[in-house]
Amino acid sequence: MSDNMRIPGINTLREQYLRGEITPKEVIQRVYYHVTTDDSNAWIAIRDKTDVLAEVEELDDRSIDTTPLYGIPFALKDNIDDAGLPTSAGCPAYTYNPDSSAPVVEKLREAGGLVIGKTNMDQFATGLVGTRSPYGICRNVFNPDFISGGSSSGSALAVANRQVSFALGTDTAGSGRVPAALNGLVGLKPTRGLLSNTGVVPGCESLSCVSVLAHTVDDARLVEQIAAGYDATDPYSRCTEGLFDDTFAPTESMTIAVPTNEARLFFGNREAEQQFETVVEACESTFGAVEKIGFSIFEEASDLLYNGPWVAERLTTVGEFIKSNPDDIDLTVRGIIRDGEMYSASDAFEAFHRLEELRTEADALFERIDALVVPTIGTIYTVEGEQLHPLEINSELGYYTNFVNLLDLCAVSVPTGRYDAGPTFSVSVIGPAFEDHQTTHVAEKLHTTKYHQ
Amino acid sequence: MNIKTLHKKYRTTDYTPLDTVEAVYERIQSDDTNAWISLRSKDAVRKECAQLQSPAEQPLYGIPFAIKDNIDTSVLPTTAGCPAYAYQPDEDAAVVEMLRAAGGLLIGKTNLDQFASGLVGTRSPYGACRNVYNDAYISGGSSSGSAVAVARNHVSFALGTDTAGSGRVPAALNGLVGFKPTRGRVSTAGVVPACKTLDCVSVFAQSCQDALGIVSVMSGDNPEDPYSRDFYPVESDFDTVDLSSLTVGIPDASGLEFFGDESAEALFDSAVETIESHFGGLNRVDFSVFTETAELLYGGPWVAERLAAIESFYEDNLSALHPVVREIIARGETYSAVETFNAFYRLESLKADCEKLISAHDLDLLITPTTGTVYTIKEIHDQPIERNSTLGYYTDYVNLLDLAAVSIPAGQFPEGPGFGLTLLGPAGTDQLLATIGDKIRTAMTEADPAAAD
Repeated sequence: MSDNMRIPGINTLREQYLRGEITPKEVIQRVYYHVTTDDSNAWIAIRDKTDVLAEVEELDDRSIDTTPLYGIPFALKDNIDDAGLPTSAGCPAYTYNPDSSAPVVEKLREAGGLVIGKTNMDQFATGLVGTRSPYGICRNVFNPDFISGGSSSGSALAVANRQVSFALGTDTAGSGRVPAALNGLVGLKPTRGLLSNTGVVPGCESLSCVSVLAHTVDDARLVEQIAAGYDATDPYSRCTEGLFDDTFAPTESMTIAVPTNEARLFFGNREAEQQFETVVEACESTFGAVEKIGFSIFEEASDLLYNGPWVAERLTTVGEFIKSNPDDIDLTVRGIIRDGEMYSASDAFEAFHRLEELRTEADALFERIDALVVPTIGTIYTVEGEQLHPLEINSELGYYTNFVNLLDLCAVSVPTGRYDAGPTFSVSVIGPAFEDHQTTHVAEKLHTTKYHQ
Repeated sequence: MNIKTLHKKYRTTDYTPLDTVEAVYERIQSDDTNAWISLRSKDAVRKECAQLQSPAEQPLYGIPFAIKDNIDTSVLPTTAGCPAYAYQPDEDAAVVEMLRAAGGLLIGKTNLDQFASGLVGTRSPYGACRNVYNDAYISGGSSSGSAVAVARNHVSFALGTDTAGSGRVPAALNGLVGFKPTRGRVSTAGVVPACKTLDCVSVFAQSCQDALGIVSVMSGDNPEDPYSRDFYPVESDFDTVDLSSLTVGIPDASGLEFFGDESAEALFDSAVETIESHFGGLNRVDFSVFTETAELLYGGPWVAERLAAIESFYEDNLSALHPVVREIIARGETYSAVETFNAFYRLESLKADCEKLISAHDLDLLITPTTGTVYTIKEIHDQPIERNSTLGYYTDYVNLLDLAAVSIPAGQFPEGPGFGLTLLGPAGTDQLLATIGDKIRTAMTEADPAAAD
């Protein structure tokens, strides 16, 4: 099947529907061709095609003009519930059949979106690599020697391979941004609490966010806007009223911060260093001012996440399961989560107090700047290398992503270039809580769309 | 010695702050209480009088006050009720600095339950504080000395701290107003923490109006203090608040607890009669969300936050601690980080339940007893921990649920100690509560002139 039979992004597909070039039924036929012949390990479970076609029939009663995701096929990371499919969180022994769909999924279906299936992931969303799954390793869409990134690995591949128009992931420490960054996609991690976490197996319940993987910033923003909304069943849910108004400063008067040269870590990758320098130059010509800042607040916050009591938060969700089913767990994942047992309540409170101080410092910084631009990842890794040094590589992968949820920030990763080896180089635009709209606007200015698979 | 009376005296007679200082020291020296841990020299305070401006420029011009000895001032050491812990601060706590700049005259530092751990007033190596009405009875704590110093007219007002009721319980038992503002409205910078995420600075005064004026002087976001907050207070005015337009909630029969104390029950019933005849509506509401939250505070990981606050001192100075305080803090060692996260999740959903309760009954405020009973010093010695927790039945949950509170005098137990009513409202309702507090006092005085004092 030729490339033009692949599934485009939301806007493009919608235009094709509006011009009458294709029907949802035809799109679903194509989707199922791609999904059933997929050899990337992207999928864990796929819905029965007849069920999806029955949903397509129901679309006949609705007007495309008032149905923003009319006939748009999408995928869910397999830690997000859909009533028609089991949820495994990347662990077959953990699998359960949810009675209802997560509220975010309901909203997207309500808007005309068509759930196709559930995607592969680092088990229990623990990892930024895409290799920690009994459903197979996910490899980079541009070069199979390299990792896809994770934990929302399958969601990234399903969109990058144009099997669906967009996918939902989750993002606690970078799981939505890292795989987007390496596979040429936009990865939007909304402000915590805007999208309900009910029906999602969390990484860390107080930090996890549902995230969007899409081809364009516009597509990602549209999905966020539809999926967002206060949900009384999620105690961490926040009010979203008025958040998506266009009330931000003009680009040319914005102040953008980037890390100082000393604070930029590329782990020896000169290509990434040059790629980022190019982005800094683009910032200088696009925005009002570019300020170089130290990175100590962010480094310290990241350190709290992986070398502090938040590891214990992962145990709150799956701790009992891991204790009773130790042999069913990925060895690396088991090691990481079990480390959580060594932290005391007093350690936890000390870390909360320190984090509150760091948040205050971050708030003061974001009073001064409109957005922070960093590489999403400082380098790229082969699957082989990752298998040799799983923990070191995972922590390097999170250098620019780990701190974002702890400091209550929002972020969007956009590709800006390509490594010679194939994977895309991406930057993250990071903004304060509730400034998702302004942050995506800045990201749009830096996004280079020509690096699509 | 309320502020209004003293200011009137300064303006209309030749009485000066120097005369006040003389009177203050005379009263303190002729009065044998354990209220004070340290006093400033009279000369130092006299010298400060020379720096005062005028009542018009300074809202606390020439007003003598005390601070609980877990609040820093550069002019006296801080002990937190533990001589071995004592240190000499370099600067005043943010709140003390603001009160002194407003013309307040700091006289000294008051006794407390060690490390603010207790609601009784007996857990101090500086001696037990006794009830102002009957010295066989406890003063309540932990801000015991601050309550006694104001009740005995040593000073016009005093600062306490309030994590689980430490500012409200001793106010109630000694016939004072005890105002616990919304968390974060008043900075805790320079205060020895008990539970850093919950602690508030509180005010002991003769009227709600005085207390509110003092809180206003101390309010404001402090960028140095990560727990200080910006928020939008609900404005209200004594003259315009109409009780008949407000709906008040009180605990339903199963939620009310007097621990067998029939006189307390009668005092509350009579207060309810007054309330019923003045407010627009009175709803008896299910109290379980509050009792469940209170259980989290003392039967959960928050005791570990007390440990975190003094951990290195605690480990090296076990024998320096009051035995009951040591026993309580030691419980903190038994909790894990996992239990801490689980307790935070539980709290998040209790907070949501509390909001639902308030909106379902359309409540403007809640009114409860401040304590359900009162104890002699001997009774507390016999059962120090159980009876302490009985005293906190109506106060423990308030900071966890992010409520504002004020305790007002509402009669006396037959043995003498004061009985208090607590008015509770959502964060930001400080001013409304204070206004209503004075109105209820007026109404109760009209209903029973004998109870006026």
